[in-house]
Amino acid sequence: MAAKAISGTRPRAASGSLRRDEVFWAYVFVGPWIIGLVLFILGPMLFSLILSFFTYTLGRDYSFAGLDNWIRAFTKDELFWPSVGKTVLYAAIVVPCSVIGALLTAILLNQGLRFMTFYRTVFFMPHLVPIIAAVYVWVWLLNGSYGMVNEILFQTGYYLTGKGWVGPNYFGDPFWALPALMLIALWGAIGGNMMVIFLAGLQGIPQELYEAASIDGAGALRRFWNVTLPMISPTMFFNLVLASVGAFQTFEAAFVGTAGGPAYATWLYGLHIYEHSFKYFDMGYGSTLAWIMFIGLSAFTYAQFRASRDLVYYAGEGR
Amino acid sequence: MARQGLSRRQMLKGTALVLGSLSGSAILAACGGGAPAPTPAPAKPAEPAKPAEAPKPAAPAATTAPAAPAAAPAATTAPAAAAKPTEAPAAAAKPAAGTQVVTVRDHDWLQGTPGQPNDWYDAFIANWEKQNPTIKVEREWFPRNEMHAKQLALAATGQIGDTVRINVAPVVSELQLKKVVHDLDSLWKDDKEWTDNDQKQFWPGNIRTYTRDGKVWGLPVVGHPGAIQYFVNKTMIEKKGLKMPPADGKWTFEEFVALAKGLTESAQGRTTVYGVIMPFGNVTINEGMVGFLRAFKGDLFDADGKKCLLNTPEAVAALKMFAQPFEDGSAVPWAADIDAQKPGLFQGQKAGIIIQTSAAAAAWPGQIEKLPEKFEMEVMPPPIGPLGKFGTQVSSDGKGVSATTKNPAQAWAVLSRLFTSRDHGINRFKNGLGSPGSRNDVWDSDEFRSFAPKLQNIAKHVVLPPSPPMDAWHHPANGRFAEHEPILLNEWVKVTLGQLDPEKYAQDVGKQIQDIMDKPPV
Repeated sequence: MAAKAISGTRPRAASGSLRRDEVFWAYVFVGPWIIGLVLFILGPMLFSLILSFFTYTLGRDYSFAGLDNWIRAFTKDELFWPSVGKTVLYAAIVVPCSVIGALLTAILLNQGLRFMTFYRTVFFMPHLVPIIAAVYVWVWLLNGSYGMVNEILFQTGYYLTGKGWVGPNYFGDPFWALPALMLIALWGAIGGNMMVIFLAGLQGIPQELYEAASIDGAGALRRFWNVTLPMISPTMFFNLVLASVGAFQTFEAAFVGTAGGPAYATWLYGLHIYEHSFKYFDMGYGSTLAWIMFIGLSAFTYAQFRASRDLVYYAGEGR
Repeated sequence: MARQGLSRRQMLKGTALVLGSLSGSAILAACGGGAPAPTPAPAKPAEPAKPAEAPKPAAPAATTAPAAPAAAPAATTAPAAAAKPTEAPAAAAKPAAGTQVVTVRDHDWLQGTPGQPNDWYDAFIANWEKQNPTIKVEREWFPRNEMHAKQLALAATGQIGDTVRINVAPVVSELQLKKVVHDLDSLWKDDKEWTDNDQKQFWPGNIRTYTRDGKVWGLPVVGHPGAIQYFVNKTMIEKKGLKMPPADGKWTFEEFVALAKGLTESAQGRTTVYGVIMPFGNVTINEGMVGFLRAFKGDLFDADGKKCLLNTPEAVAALKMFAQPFEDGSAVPWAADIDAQKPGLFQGQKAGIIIQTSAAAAAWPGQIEKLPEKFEMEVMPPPIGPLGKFGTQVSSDGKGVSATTKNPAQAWAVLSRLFTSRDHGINRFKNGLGSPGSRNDVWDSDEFRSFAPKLQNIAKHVVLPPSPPMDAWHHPANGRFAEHEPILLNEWVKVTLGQLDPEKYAQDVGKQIQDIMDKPPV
């Protein structure tokens, strides 16, 4: 008893084991989470996996389809591969640009200048705008005929050359529509959560490391390359994984802004899933498409983690 | 006390077991489809309830109060009857002592401002309930873009209400195939008052749209001849010395194209005023395109909904004409926000003509009146093409009775006497909530003439006899209407950009749509 009072810890039955009452209370506390997970995430996920092997349209009976839905996706669905291609292209541009952009913004906002809190707030503001509202505003700004961006472009050209520069119809031209969606994504992402996480990472780097590097004669670029980057590599990896997942799942902007058009130019994979599931109510096939995305994203994330072993530095880890 | 310990491995195993069991239970529950109570699942509906089992209503009061089923519904024998639609109720009827009040759950999309002061629907429905004291209408209305999916989900889980909204008329096939809607023939067969009066008022083409397997599955709530109304800026046309389209539609598509071209203005390499806004939107094109196709003796679908007719010489001729304003640079190019832009473009005099449905005819004149630069707007019939009559495709959104309703008589009363009534058609339009009712006694009424003067050219020359009857809205018989429109629109945008020839469009899109029509029913 005295020993217990002194140590403030309870004796254990054996190393690595838990008492029954501890187990009971553990279950009590994690119970709500487990129930939520099972009812709203795990259960529906497994159900959708089962559904992917069935033909099921909302309101009709099920019929077993074997691998038909899976084969249909890869071989018969004319919009499957184009939507995959567009989504990969979108992610390939948006992810690096948003991560690098957020990092550069965070570095800028990590300088000891006056009014820094104000600047940080200003940069974070786009992230606070709901994506739907942002899309509507951008669609209006980028309207080919009467949008503000083209009007500024026209007036600038007129002022400089005496002849107005006519901008493209961004959301009406298949060539420009996807880049326009990327622009909206970058506008929201560069100053958003990623920037805040980078900022926290940057502020967590011990100043002694910079001082030591300076004493060794390292300039600003060398300090960034040899101190900052390695020290924030876990943060960068975290942001990269989240940005990749987010980019592949992009849906709202394409759904609200362009409905996949013009001429399928913004028919992203998330929209393809939605159209089949909630417009045509082809739930079996929609589930298949969703599982293909899940498997693809899981594989990609796994590859990222494998690659990170050699690229990410965790302080305190013996290497 | 002896301690019994659990290793971490055992605890993890236990957790996995719990998760597995719960997930399995959840899946089994989901596979089981849930309890269908209180109504049977629509996939295997019970024998439709027969209105003949429903109460025989008391005779309407002599004061014209539209009587509802006065007796208890379980004991009546005919669908609820109401007073003649033209008669105004003089006083609120009261339910007889001991009479059961039946609640009719009504699904629709959100319209107006329910619950707010001066909401037209609140007052309209409350007034109807006063005249029909044995029926209470409980509105379960959803945002329009979610409504169809929600209705299907409610039906699939046995929770659908008594009356359902048919989002656009062609969706009726999907609802019928999925056994969401009840046939109406069995509901109106004993309702002589309705068959003798109201039924005759509906446009036959519209009723055909809701007909499948020889039965009618819905009634149009609103209606118009299609996206073929030409709203024109008369002031702009006259200022440019151009010729106004004639009120009787006796003009040609070539004249229309020339007019659009004549209205187009450009300065310093960019278009400042467009001649026309063609009839398609962010996600829709069917209604506008079919108006052109039919005027050229073509069509998109055959009447049975089995064949796509896009790849025919007539259809190709129509498509070329449909594409001409884009080729001329006189049509507003497709944009992601084209629907939102339309009112501003036309009212801001950045476009001289807009081809669209009739809905805007109620609100736009008042809005134009308030503009700093007022102009005179007219609504004209479309040109008459090789068909020799207007290329019409009656449009409507409809309403039906759910297949599993326990109150078919009351649901029929709500459908036939409230939401598809003459008064509803007139007043809904008058209150700016969309197109007028799909009935001749709406379009031919003094009220309609008085507050919709801009639609009178359409009423006189397109809608009302002796004009030739308007044609039905054909759609895939397999209920896959929703699947064709993204193809029709996305490929058409390529045509407008000069990236695809109308002939090639007809071939490619015709084949893709035929593939959809050849699929099994939804």
